[in-house]
Amino acid sequence: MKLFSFERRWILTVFDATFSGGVATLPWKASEMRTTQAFVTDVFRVGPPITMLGMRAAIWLVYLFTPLLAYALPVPLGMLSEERRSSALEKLSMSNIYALRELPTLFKMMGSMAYCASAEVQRAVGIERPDFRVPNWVEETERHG
Amino acid sequence: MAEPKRIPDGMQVFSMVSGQARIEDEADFVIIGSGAGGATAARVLTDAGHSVILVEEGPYVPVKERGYDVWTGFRSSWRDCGFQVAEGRLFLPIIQGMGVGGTTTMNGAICHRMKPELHAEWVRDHKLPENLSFEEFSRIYDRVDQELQIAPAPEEVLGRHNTLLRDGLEAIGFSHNPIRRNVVGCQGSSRCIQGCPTAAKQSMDQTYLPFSLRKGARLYAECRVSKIVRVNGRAGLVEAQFVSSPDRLKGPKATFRARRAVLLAASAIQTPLLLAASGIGKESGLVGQRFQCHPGISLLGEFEEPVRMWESVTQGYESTHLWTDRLKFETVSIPLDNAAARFDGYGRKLMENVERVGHLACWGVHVRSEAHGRVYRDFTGRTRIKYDMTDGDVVRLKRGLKLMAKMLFAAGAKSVSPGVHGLPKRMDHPDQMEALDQLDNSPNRYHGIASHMFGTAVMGADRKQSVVGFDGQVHEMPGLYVLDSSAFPTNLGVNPQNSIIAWSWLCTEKLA
Repeated sequence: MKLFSFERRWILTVFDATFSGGVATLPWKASEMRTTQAFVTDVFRVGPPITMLGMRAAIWLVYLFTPLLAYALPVPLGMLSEERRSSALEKLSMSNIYALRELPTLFKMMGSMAYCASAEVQRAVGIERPDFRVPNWVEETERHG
Repeated sequence: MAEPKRIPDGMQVFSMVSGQARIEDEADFVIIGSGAGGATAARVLTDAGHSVILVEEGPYVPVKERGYDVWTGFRSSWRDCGFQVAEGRLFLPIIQGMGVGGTTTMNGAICHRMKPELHAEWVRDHKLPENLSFEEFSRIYDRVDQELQIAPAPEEVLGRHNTLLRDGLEAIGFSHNPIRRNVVGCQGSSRCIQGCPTAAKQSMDQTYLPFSLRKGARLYAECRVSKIVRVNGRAGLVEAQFVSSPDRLKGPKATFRARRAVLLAASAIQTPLLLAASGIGKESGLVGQRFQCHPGISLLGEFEEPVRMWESVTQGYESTHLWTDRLKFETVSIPLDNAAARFDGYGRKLMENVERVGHLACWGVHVRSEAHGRVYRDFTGRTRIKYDMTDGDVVRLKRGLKLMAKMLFAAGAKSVSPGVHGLPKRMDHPDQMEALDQLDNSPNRYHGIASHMFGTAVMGADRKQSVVGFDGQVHEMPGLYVLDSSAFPTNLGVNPQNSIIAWSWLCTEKLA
């Protein structure tokens, strides 16, 4: 399944709002990282189509309606300040409606497999592996797009 | 040193057959699935001199292609790339391997015997006969202990993460033990779920499958079985198609002819689906029903001292002290790229938690749940798992969480992160967990996972009340045997790998 470029941007915006923010040892922006960019392509290419369809619907909901649900603001997530994007996601994750609070969690789960997979992030928190290398799927995705 | 061969002799994968029009093969036995049940059957039968074909839906992933990151493992060796879920009030991820070696390649290498109390329950409630006595199971367990070199996790690879659980269990007076594991030379790299990077885990792809291939077995990987067909009134033909992984490209169709029997060991999810697709289940109505599993949830504790989960055995310590109360506690060292999803907060708050990962411990409790679900294909052909924990299951989970909080604080944790909707994000005292009792029993307050599937083609003597006999043979199709935990009457309350091996062994040695 291929995403439209705006959907891709929306996902990366959500990843940034999830994994970002002023921690000195982890200065990387999720959307600018190789692993994150490759992951978004790869997961939609190889993931189960029905699940990915659900993810696609989820990104529309999260990007377009989180500010409305969290702050009653009828604007997309990208229109909020970076700090407010994170708190909007946090607020949504505390909703009493299960389906709503799971939406940001879903992207946290996906984002962690992308952002935290990078050797830079792992090294920064003290994890050292003898075989740290760019994962195969990153190179594969960059080769084939 | 010569580069090891990518594909072992005797194995064929999608890329080796994709140009061919059709694959046909014939053997005494055709085995569907190459995990604990299927690989054991191949080991027993090839050792007795029979010809064997193994058909595996998932890919072959050589050790050198296993990565340090979670997604590399998920996309290559986990069913649905790790996105498989059971649907109920809670969407519960069901973890299951899919590849040569099945779930044995990506599990925590935990080896348990069935509890004698459970066996007694099966004898009492499900009329297990003498040929499935506890002594018979134990005979196989003893042998497998030797062959898979099962031993308690040694002190030098436990790391602080596992010894902290020991401290916590000791402090609250629970019995405890290092986990018995099928590993040789484990380095404690905490990468069981990505697939062992050093081949220390004695999973089926490292043990019984190479053994069987050396004895002449033929293994077709990335080959999805669609149906088992009768020939002269018996299971005699397996229809399949090669499908590449993870891209899902369609390859040639295949037919595998079995002269003696077809052995089905595709897991408690895929086995009933294949039975149903082969027209089985009308008599009992039980194919795909009575699905059971072990739902589990984790608790994160933050310590002043470094814990460094990644410098330890993934799952090295446990307590079955409350097994009769249906609870089991264990360490679960999850990799950062999986664990971060469980950390609190978004943005800066989350990043601060990521930064502190070296001080976090993650312990899990799993429940021998009472709930039954079902597995089926919907009208689109999609696999559906319907499963909902009972109130009793949730009450047990709450008790388990409260006890784990006590253990964490007793071991020196300064705070605990329960990850439960309706509770504070962080707690500084075990008594705060008592607030759990004020919450309703809705399962979707929790973030859990389920592992270990059972019961979807249950064994029994009465063909109206069971799918397979006590020899594993399907009542409705002679010559077809179910050799995985689908046949188990209930869940075990402990990890099932060795009991699946024992069940498969006991059934196949009679065929050999």
